[in-house]
Amino acid sequence: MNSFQWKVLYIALMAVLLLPISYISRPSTPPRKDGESNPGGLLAQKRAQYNLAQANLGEIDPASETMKLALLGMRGVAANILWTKANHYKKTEDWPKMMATLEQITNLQPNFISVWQFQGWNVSYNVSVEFDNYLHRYFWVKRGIRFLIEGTRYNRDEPRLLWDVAWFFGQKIGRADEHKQFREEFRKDEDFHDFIRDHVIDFDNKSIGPFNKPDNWRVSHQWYLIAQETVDSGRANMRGRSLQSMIEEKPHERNKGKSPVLFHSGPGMALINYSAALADEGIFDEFSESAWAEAGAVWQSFGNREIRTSRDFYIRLNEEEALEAEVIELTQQLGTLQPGLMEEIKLKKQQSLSEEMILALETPVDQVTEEQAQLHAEAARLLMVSPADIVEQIKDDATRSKARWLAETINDKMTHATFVKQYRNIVNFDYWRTRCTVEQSEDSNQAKKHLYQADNDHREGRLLQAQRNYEIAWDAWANIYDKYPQLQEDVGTEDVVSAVKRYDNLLGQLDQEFPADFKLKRVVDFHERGRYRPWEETGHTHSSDHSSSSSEGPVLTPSLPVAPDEGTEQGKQEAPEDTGNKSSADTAIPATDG
Amino acid sequence: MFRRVKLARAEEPRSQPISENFMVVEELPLPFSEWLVQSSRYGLAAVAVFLIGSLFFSYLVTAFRYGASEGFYLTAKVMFRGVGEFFQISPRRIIAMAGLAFKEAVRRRVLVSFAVFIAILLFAGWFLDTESTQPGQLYISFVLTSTNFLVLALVLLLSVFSLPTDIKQKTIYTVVTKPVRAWEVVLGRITGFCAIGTLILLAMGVFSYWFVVRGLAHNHVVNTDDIRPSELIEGGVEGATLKNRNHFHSFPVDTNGQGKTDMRMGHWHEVGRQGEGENASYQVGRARDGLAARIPEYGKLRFLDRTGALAEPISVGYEWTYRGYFEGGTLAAAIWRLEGITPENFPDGLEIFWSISVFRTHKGDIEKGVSGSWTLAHPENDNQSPPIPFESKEFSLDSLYIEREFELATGETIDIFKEYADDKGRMDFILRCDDRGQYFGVAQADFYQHVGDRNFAWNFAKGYLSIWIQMTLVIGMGVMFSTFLSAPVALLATLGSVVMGFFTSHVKELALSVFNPENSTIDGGGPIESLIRLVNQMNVSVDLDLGFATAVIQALDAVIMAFMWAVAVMVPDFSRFDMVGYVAEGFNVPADVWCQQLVVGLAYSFVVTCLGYFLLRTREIAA
Amino acid sequence: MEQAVIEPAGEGSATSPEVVIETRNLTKIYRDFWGRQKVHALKALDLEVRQGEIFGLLGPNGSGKTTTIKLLLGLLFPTSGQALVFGRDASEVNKNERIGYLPEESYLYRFLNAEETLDFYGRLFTMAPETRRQRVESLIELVKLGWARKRQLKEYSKGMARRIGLAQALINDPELILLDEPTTGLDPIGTREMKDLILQLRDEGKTVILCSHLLADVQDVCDRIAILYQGELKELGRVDALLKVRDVTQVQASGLSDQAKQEIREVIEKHGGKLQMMDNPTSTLEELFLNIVQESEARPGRRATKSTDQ
Repeated sequence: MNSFQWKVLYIALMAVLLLPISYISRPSTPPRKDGESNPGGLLAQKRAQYNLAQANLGEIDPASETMKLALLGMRGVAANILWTKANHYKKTEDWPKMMATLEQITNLQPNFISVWQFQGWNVSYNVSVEFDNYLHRYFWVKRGIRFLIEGTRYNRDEPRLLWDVAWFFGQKIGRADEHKQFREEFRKDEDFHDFIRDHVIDFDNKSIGPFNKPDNWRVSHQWYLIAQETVDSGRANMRGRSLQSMIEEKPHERNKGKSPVLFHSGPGMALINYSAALADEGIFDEFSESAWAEAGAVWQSFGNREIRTSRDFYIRLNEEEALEAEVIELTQQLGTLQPGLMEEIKLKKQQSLSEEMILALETPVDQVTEEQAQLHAEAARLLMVSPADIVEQIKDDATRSKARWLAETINDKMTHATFVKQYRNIVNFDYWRTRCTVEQSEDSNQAKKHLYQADNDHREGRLLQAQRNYEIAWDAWANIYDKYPQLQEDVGTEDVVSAVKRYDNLLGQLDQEFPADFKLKRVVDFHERGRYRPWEETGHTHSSDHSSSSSEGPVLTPSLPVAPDEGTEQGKQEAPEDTGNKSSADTAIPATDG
Repeated sequence: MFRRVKLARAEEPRSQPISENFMVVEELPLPFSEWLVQSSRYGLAAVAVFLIGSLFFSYLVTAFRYGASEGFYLTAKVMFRGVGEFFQISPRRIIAMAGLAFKEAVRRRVLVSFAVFIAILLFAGWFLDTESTQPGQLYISFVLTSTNFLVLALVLLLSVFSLPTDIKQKTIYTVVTKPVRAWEVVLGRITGFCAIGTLILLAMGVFSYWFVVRGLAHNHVVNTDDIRPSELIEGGVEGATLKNRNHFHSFPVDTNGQGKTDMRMGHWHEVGRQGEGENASYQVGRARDGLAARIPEYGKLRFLDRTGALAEPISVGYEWTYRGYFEGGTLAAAIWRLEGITPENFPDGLEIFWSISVFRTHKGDIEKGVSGSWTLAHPENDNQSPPIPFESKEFSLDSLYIEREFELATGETIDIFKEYADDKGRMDFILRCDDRGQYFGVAQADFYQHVGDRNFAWNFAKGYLSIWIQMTLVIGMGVMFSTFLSAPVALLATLGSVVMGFFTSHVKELALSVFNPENSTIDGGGPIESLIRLVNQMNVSVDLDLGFATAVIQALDAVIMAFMWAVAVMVPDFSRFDMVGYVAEGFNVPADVWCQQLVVGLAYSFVVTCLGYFLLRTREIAA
Repeated sequence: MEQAVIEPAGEGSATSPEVVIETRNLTKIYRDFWGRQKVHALKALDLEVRQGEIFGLLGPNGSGKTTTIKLLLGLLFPTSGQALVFGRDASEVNKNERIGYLPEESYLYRFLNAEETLDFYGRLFTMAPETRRQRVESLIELVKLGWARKRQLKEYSKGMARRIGLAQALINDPELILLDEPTTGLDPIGTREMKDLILQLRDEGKTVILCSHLLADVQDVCDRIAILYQGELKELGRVDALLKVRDVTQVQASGLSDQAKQEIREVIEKHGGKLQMMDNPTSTLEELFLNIVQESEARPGRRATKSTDQ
């Protein structure tokens, strides 16, 4: 073939290749007057189906579009280069250039969610701590948040980003080492308020905390609601995947999504943290009173929310008790189908046990060896009478089918109950529920208020007044622990115990004996395991090792137990790993409670 | 005691960006004369090696063609003729040739690129970070960088296509059959393209200067309701401006109605009152000092450890080892020795600037900086001033004005020059961190004496000078390659050299890592090995294990990297010609630096011209 | 009656004018990228051109004419042998001061206009600016391009380009002029003018070397020619000598009727008519040329020179 023929062949081939492409990429047309509409080619249909059109994702920025065009499809490469550059600038601590580079990256790839998440995190958490001055830290925390919010403009209805914004507002401002200062700065930061006002509906009513100023936790709550709303309304745009389906379809991307139960716990947790923060700051006015009520209500409604489990059925966190009751009820029903059967089976099972097992069962708990413990567990398992066992033993067909139905229902309910239990554990549901209830009680209010005042008095030298306040607080605490003994087990008790030590110290200053009938003995013993029992000591060997507590910054009111930190649970693993080398604890992990 | 004069800084920024410039200088420039002596030795050696190498190479080639003795004769002839013709160079002919190149460039519509530049600047507002804390830095580095790359790309295309086109279209026949020396052909091209490049650069310079100045110019409005009586100035008032361009200023105004705002985003404004009493209004003037060219005088830095002995600084674990750290609350210190501290140079007193990095090992007081102090000390005897305390400010420039005379606690008045400087005008400045368990980190360039200021426009021009030098180099290389390569190949060769030129140090490091993997921090091997690792998704820390093939691959890699290394050694190090940092950070580009660059640029241009001559002269034009 | 045969000029004698060009055993072999021989473009050429003569290089395409000129100009380097111009090596640049060259096609900068072109080339020579301006003026006049002097060359027709090409070749008032295919692209009048100009240049004492495959042109103006074929010199000598053919009689008559023609034929047989012309006719160069080609195909190698060659 000569060159001309080759050329003709090439052109023909090109045409052949172009035909299917042009076929599948036919554009859709909106419905005309006669009602006819053209859904367009396959690509157009898919685009509509998965919301892939640029305009569906969020705002379109002319600068960003120009840059993309100018790079002629090389934007991936360019973004890579810029990414290394940003890392370099971070290394050499050239923050303005780093920010400028980040802006360029997001201009190039505005719909690349991980970039927004990663770099927003980077700025708020890693860059901020490079600064010594807390005001500068606050400034950079804010920049990270603004960066994320910027991201939500290009990617509206993107729950991951919206949720992160909420997280940053809450955790980074409210839980950092400098949370006291940050919260204070946030209250005063009117420019930032103006900025947020553009994004949050009814900012001026719903985000207002004490001093009639916006509160970071309440703002966080608002953003959680926005994130939640996008999911609930079905608008959630995670590149076409729903919150849950993404987790299911792409298990390896699990970390990028949020487990629904965590996702929906956001608003409640924000309000709980808000209420706790108020108490920390010694605010005991109408805000603090209503705050816990509100938090409790939101937590309750979180419990009533239907949550899809990883096994595709829906549960409500509140239904555990009901489910357990039902199981007991149904088991009883099963037992009555053929009275005496259950005992019969049990007896049989007991007979089948080996001698060692029986021995293990009979040995008192504090004398069992390790081997026996295993046997014990094994025996207990063998002795369990499952509904299936009963069904098997029923001879009568009619009864049996009824029994089978009952057994299945029991199993079903039990599975549900197990899931509810597990999911409750993930978000520490029970604890927060109790906490909300406790905090609303008069006792709790008294306890905290007087403890706070006592600490203040103590610090300022009004010793007798302090003593009085402490004692009122102890009474209130004792009431609380009587009502909710389970609270003793909680780590939050630590705060109470350290308050007791301060009280002990105060008594030393006043040259008084520690009261032998101290009401919180049980609590202190439980927590200190008998190592610290001031009421037993004769003479005044008041603990001096705790005098340093006053130098550890402001003494905080022992709020009720602090929850296992919310921060450790979330899927935050994608956070930058190179968290800089400063030793500050809050570089990588969201701040721990102060 | 010392009187501290704070430079127009009213109070700590409240969630406002901090922005005072300080500059990272990884290596302080050598004085020009010293550099010249050092590098001319190196440079001459390099030229000699290069000369002998290329002579030998050309002899090899000719000997291969014409036999050993004829080859020698020919090489010598070409050599001597080259020298002879060098002295026959006529400026008239060069100008004629340059004029031709110039006209060619103009007729090839190079001015289009200028239009592109203008378009980029016009759209630049979109790309620039509007929230930046250092808009000046951003604007300047943006215009300088974009001009740099645009101009380099332009002259690359210009210089590379000209000669090959000339040869391909045979127009060169009518030229070289005239009494034109190959020198003049090469030089004419270089000169012509330089001329047009210079014109374009000038135009771009003027335009981008305007862009920067206009982009940073702004004003503030003062809301009279915010004015309140001043706590600092008796009878004065203080207030704050409204926000514009993401920042505001606070300012005091004295009884005469005059005042200055604080420094924000690298600039301040003058404030004046108009009207009296109820009707008073406050006018804010234009932004000042946003575009500066400070002249710093750096000292020599040494560290003391916690026992007070001379020692290396501590690393606190940062990847970037620019700053050295020392412990607070001990005898550890950083000491700068400055020269030229004489009453003649500083008749009123000393103004020192510093910026430090703080590393805390415990939280300390969150709301306060770490405290440190400055002490003046005599380099030879034990005279030391009382410590002047300060509170640390990170990532910003702090300053202190030390009056020449002060009163000791004993009531004695002391002249700092007499007491702490030796007769050569040397003085030690001791920096200590006073908080136990906290660390200060400093680098040599973190402390300097503000000697004066230069005109910003002139400094900006110096930034353009470095672009000009790079442009000349690219033109030289482009013309040189195009004397013996076809246009596309010459384009690739020049582009390759330029890219290589920007990464010479990196390439050298890479090459050494391949030659000597044990002593290198770079893992992953040479190009072939890396490719295999990439394809197999193999971790760099895992040894390549392909049996015998490994040795072959590594040997091949070594050959390739040896070639790369050789190229990296030969091409000019373009990253040295970067003056953007100086200009953008508001520091005067020292004459030492730009003179060095100019000399390096000229030397390279000369070498490249020589190469171009011999390559053109020894090629058959009509082949 | 036979006219006298013009005797070959007495070349090579001690009294002959200065030798302007000399080639000794000049050989050019083109090689490919790998150094392998590709084309034997010129084989051991020995030539001498003297001052004041018009020397023609003839040959079909690819015979080595242009290669010879390029070697003489230093645009190519000889594979072996020597090319001397004014007694010096052809690769010396100084000789160019005295040389004018009109390339095969007018390779000129198309973005310049006529004036700029001549001015540019003029600047490459050592001459006073005043002289340069005058020469530019007079050359534009000479090639009759005054009307198009400000037009860029890309707008020029082929003939105009050829003329401005000639003008640039003459800008330095050269002693030696090399013209590569000077008449291609010219109309008949232009061709005539070019030939007149060449003759005029010779009259001014300049040496002209031209190469062409248009035999008629060469036949008209050349004093001596060399015929190259496949890189080898086939003929060298004075044009008239080369073309003379003996033992042939040519008759030319006019105003004869058919009957008269018949009669003349008879008369000639019977010596009855009036003889109008009786001469030794020359063959055309074309015939000579074709002969050489045919012969070379049959017997490669240098042609045995006949009679008049030196």
